[in-house]
Amino acid sequence: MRLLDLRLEGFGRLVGRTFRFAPGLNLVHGPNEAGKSTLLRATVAMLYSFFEDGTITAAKRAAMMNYQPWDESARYAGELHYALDDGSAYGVRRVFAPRSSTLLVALPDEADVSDQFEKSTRGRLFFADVQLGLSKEMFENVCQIRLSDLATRDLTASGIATTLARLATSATTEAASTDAIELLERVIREDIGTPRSQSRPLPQLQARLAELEEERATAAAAREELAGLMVCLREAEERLRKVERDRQECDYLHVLAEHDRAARRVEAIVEAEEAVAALGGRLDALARWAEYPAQRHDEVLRLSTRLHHLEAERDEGTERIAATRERLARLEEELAEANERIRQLEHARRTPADILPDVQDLADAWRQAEETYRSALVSYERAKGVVDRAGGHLASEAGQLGPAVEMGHVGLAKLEQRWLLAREQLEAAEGRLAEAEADWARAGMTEERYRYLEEVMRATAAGEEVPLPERRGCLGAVGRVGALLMGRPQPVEAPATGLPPEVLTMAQVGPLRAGLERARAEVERARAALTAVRGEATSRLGALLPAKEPGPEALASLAERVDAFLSARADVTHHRALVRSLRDDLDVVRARRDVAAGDLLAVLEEAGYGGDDAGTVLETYLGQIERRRELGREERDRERLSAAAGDLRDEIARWEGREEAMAATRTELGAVLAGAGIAVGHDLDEAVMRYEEGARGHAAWAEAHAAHEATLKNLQALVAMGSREVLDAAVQEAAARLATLRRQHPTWTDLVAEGAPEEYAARSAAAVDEATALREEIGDLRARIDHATETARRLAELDEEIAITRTAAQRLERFRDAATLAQEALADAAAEYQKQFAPTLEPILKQSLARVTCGRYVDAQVDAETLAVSLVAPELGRPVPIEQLSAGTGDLVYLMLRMAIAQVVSGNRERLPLFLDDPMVQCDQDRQTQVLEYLALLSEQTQILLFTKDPFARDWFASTLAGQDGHALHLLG
Amino acid sequence: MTGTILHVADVHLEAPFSSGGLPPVVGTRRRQDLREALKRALALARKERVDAVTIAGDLYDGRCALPETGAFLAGAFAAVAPIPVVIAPGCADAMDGGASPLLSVYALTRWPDNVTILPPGPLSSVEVAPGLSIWGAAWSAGGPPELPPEAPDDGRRLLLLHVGPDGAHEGGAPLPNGLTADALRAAGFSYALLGGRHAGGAWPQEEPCGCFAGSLEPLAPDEMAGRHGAVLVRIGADGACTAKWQEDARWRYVALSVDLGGCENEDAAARRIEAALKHDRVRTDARAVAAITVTGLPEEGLDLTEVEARVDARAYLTMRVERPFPYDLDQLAQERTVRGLLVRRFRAAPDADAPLDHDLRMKALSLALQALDGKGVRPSEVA
Repeated sequence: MRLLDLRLEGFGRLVGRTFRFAPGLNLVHGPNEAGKSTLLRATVAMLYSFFEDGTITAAKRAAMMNYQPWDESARYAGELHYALDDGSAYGVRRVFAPRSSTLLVALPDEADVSDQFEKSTRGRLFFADVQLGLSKEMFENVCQIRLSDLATRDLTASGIATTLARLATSATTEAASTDAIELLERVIREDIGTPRSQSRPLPQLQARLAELEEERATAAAAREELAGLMVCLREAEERLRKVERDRQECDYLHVLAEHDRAARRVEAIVEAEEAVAALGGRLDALARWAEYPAQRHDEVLRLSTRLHHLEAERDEGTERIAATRERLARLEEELAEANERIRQLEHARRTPADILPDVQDLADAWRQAEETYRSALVSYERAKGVVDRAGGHLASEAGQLGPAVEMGHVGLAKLEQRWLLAREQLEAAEGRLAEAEADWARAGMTEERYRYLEEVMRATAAGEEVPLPERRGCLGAVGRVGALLMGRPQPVEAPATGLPPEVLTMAQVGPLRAGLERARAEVERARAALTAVRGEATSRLGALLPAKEPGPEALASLAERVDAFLSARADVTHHRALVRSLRDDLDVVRARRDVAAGDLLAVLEEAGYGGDDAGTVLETYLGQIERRRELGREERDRERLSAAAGDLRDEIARWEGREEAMAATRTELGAVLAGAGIAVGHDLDEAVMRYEEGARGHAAWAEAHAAHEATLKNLQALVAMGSREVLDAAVQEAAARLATLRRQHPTWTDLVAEGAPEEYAARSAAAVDEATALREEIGDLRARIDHATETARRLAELDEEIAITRTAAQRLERFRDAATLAQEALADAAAEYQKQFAPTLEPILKQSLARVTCGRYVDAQVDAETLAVSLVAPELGRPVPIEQLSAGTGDLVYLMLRMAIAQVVSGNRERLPLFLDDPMVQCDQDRQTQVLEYLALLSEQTQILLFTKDPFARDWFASTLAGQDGHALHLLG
Repeated sequence: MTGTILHVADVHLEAPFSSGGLPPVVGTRRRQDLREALKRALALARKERVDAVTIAGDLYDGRCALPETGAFLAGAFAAVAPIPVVIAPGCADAMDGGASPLLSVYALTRWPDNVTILPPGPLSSVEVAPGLSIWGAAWSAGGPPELPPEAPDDGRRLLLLHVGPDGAHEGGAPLPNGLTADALRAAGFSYALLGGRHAGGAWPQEEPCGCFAGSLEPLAPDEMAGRHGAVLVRIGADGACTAKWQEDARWRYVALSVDLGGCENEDAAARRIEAALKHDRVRTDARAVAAITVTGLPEEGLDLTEVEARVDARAYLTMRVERPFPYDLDQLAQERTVRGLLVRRFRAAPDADAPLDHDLRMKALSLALQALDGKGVRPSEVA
C-alpha cells in the first residue's frame, strides 16, 4: 500500500494543506511544532479515524478535539488517496467534527464503496482494517518507528529477537509474550501466592479457612460439651426436685412419727398406770410367800435331781455290771496266757535286731551267689555232657571212617572221578563193541569162517595151499558181505582177479573184524581200568564201601560222611573250649559264693550265731528274730488286755461307788429341807414337793414384785419424758400439722411412719445436705454453662466467616486457574507463532537484502526458536551474527525487519508505508548519511515517510534525491 | 365453634447467612432480629388472645443453635402462657438432633407447661380449646404421617406439619410429602398449618385449605417474593378458615445495577452508588442487603474495594462487576501476531465446554490479552 496524496481542509495547524506523496522516500522537514506529528496523526486518522470499534471514550473524543483546525473557519476534514499493492486505488473523505462522516470511494471513478465495509457511529468506517489487514493499533505500532527506536535499538541478536518477538506478539514493541507470561507469573506468585509462599493472599486465605474450620470443629465440640452440661444440669435439677420432695416427705413423716410416738407414750403411760395397779393387787395376794426361804431352791433341786439320777443309774447298771465282771474274768485269763507266751519267748529278747539289715543284705548276696553258682554248675555239666557224648560218638565214627578220613574229602572226590571216568569209558567201549559186533553180525561171518579166512590169508601170504572150507557157508558169507558192501542183498560175483574169493572176502570183512577186535580190546582195557579203580577203592576203603557192587556213588556218600565227621569233630573241639570256659566261670562263682557265705557267717558269728553252714546259721538267726517280733506283739497284746481290764475294773468300782453317793445325797437333801422348815419323813420326794410349792409361791411373789417394780419404774420413766398433759398437747399439735400437710399433699395421707422420728430427722437433714450439694452442683453447672455460652463462638458466625473466606479463596483460585491457563496458552501460541513467523520473515528479508546492501549480503537467516537474525556473508559462506555487522548494516537490517514485520502482520501481506519520526536524532552525520542512503534504497521496496527537523537530512535530500522521481521533500513551517 | 390461631413457621433462629455472603457482624444482627420478629409475633398472639400458637417446624437451625436458644424460646413461650404453643419440628430443628441426639434443643430445654412438642410418627393431637384440636407430627425423613381415613366428629381439627426442604410447590399440586387438599378434607381437617416454604402463601392457591406461613424475615435474596410474617388463622363458626398475614419483616434484599461509566476515580464511583442507593431508599436502611452490579467500569479500572469502602450507606453492600469483554476478539483474531493466534486458539475451543469451563477460558483470554497490553491485572478485578 502507498499513500498518494493527502488534502487537509483543517487538521490542527495544518489548514488547507495538500501533500502529494512519492512512492519512495518522502522527507517531511520542519522545525518543532511545524506540524510533522500533526501530519502523521492526520494520515492515521484519515485511514482509521480517531475511534476504533467499541466505546468512544472521553479520552478519544478529547484526542480528536485536540486536532481541531486552529483556523476555526476551516472545516475539520480531509481527503486521502492511496493505492493498494494490487493496483486498486481509493479515496477516503472524512469530516471529523462537528458531525463525523466518512466516505470511501474507489478511484478513479469515484464510486462509493463505503457500504462494502462495516460502519459504526461517529462516522466510523472500518475499511483500513480490512484493506491493510491491520488494526489501527497495529498499524501505529508496526508502521511507525519512533524517535528512540533506531538510535537506542539493541543491535544484539537478543535485542533484535526481542523486538521481533514483541512485534510478533502484539505488533507493539512494548510487550512480548515472554513479558506477558512473566507478568502473569508475577501476579500468580505475588497477588495470589503459591503453597510455598504462606504470606501471600491465597495461602493466607487457605490457612485462615483451615483455622476457621478447625475453630468451627472446636466450637461444635464445645456445643456438644455444653449440651452435655445442660443434660447434667437437667439431671441435677431433677435430682434436686426429687431430694426436695423427699425432704418434705421426710419432714411429714417426722411429724407423723413424733405424733405417733407421743400418742404411743400417752398410751404407754395409761397402760403402765393400769399395770402398776394390777400388779399391786397381785402382790398383795402373794404377800404370804414373801419371806419363804426359796433361796435354797436350786440346791434342793440339784440334790433331788442328783439323787434321782443315781437311783436310775443304779437300777440300770445292775445287769451291765455282771456282764462287765464276766468280761473282766475273761480278760484276766487272756492276760495270763499272754504272760505265759511272753515268758516262752523271753529268750528271743536278746536277739540283736540291729544287725538284721546287714544280715539280710549279706544273706541276699549269699543267696544270689549260691544261685549263680548253681546255675553255672548246671550249665557246665550240661555242656560237658554234650561234649562227652559227642566225643564218644566221634571216636566211634573215626574208627569206622579212618581210611576215608585219611583220604580226605579231596582224595575221595578224585577217586570217585576216576571211578566214574573208568565206568564211562567202559560203557563207551562197550557201546563201540556192540556196534562192532553188530557190524560183524551183519557181515554174517561165523567165527569158524573167519578163522578159515585168516588161515587162508596166512596161507596166501605164506604161499601155502589154501584149505577149503564149507562153500555154502562161505559163499553165503561172501554173499552177505558183498551184499553188505555193495549195498545189495544179491551176492556179488567174484571178480576175475585171479585171487581166491576168500581173499576178497577178507578184504571186505577184515576191517570189520579189526574194528571188532579193537572194540574188544578197548573194552578189555576199560574193564581193566575200572577194575583197577574199583580195586583201589576197595583196598583203601574196604568195608566202607558196599559189599555188593560198589559204585562211585558210594564214594560220594562216603565223602558226605567224612564231611559230617569232620564237622562234628570241629564242633566237639569248640564245645570242649566252651566247657573249659564254663568251668572257669564256675570256679569264680564258687569263690564268690564262698566269700558271701563267709561274710554272712562272720556277722552272725559276731552276734553269737556260729556254724559252718551259712544257710543253717542264717535260718537260726532269722528264726530268733521272728520270735523277738512275736514277743513284742505278745507284750502289746498284754498291755491292751491290761488296759481293757483296768477300764472294766473302773466301771465296776464306779457302779459300786454310786450307792455311797446316793446315801450321801439323801442325807444332804434332808438337811437342806429341814433347814427350810420342811419336815422330812420317809418320803423324801414328798418333802421336796412341799418345798417346791413354797418356792413357787415365793417365785410368783417375787415375779409380781419385780413386775410391779418394773412397771412402776417404766411409768416413772414415761412420765419423766413428758407428762401426760404435755404429751397430749404434743399429739394435738402434731395432728394439726399433719392435717395441714395432708391438705397440701393429699397423697401423703396414706403414708405410715415406720421409723423413729430421729430417723426421719436424720434423713431430712441428709436431704438438706444433699440438696445443698445439688444446689452447689447446679450453680457450678450453670456457671459453666453460662461461661461456655458466653465464650462459645457462635457457629453461625463461624459459618458466615468460613463462607466469606472460602468465596474469596475460590475467587483467587479461579483467578489463578485463569492466569495459569493464560500463561500456558500464551507460551503455546508464542512457540507456535515463532515457528511460523521466522520462516515467513526470512524470504521477505532476503527479497530486499541484496538490493539494499548492494549485493553485500544476499541471504539471511532467522532462527525459528530465538528469532535471532544473521546474514550470510558470501565470502565466508556462513551466517554472521548481527552483532558483528557494522552499525550501518545493523540499522539497515533493523529497518528491513520492521518493514518485513509490517508485511507479515498485515493480513493481506500489503507492503505498508513506514513512518519514521526523527529516528536519527542521536546519529552523527556520517551515520545519518548512511541511514538516509539506506532509506532511499529501502524506499524502492516500500514507501517511507521520514519526519525530521534536522536540516542535515533536508540538505542531504536536496542534494542527493531532489529531482529524482520516486522521492519527495515536504517542507512544513 | 370459632377460634383463632397464630401460625408461624421457618423462623430459623441461629441460622447462618453464609449462603448470602453476609459477614458475621451482619449475620449476628439478622439473628438478633429474628428473635425480635418472633417476639413480635408472640406479642401479637397475646394481643389477639389467640387460642393457640402453632409453629410448623424449622424454629431454629439445629446445626448452630446452642442450649441458650432453648432458654430464649422457653422464656418467650412462657411469656404467652397460658396460651398453648404447639410445635411440629421440621428438618432444620429435627427432634433427634440430627447427627448428635444430645444437640436437640427440644430435648435440652425445660419447656413451660403451655408448650407441646409433637413427636414424629403417627399424628398426635392437642386440644387447644373446647372443640378445637391441633393434630400434627414432627417431620420425619421416612415420610409424612398417614391421615385418618375418615373424619371423626370431634370438633374442628387443624393439621400442623412441616413439609420438608423442597416444599416449594405451586398451585394445587400435592405437597412434596404426598399430602393433597382432598386427602386433607377427607380426613376431616378444616385447615393445614404448614411450614417448609420461606415465601408464605395460601395452599393451594385455588380454593385454599391451608397456608404456608413463610419465614418471619426473608432469609435470602430470592425470598423477597412471597409473604413473610406470622399468620392469624380465624376459624369461623361454619368451620371456614381465613388466613391473614401480619407482614412486618424488617429486612429486605435489593438488587441494583449502577453504571460507573465516566467515573474517573473511586470517589466519583462511590457517589454514584450512593445516589442509586438513595433512589431505592436503601442507603439509610440498616436492614437492607444491597447487591450492586457495577457496569461501565472504566478501562483503567477502579479499585472496587476502595469504592465500596467510600460508599456511605447503612445497608450492607455486595458489589460485582459486569463488563463486556474488553477486547474486540473479531478484530484481534485477524492479527497475524501471537496475540491473534492466541485469540484464534481460544475461540476454536469446542463448544461443548461446560459453562464453567467457558467462563474460565474467557477469563484466561482476557488476562492474557491484558498481560500482553502490559496492563496490571488484579484478582479483585475479575468477577
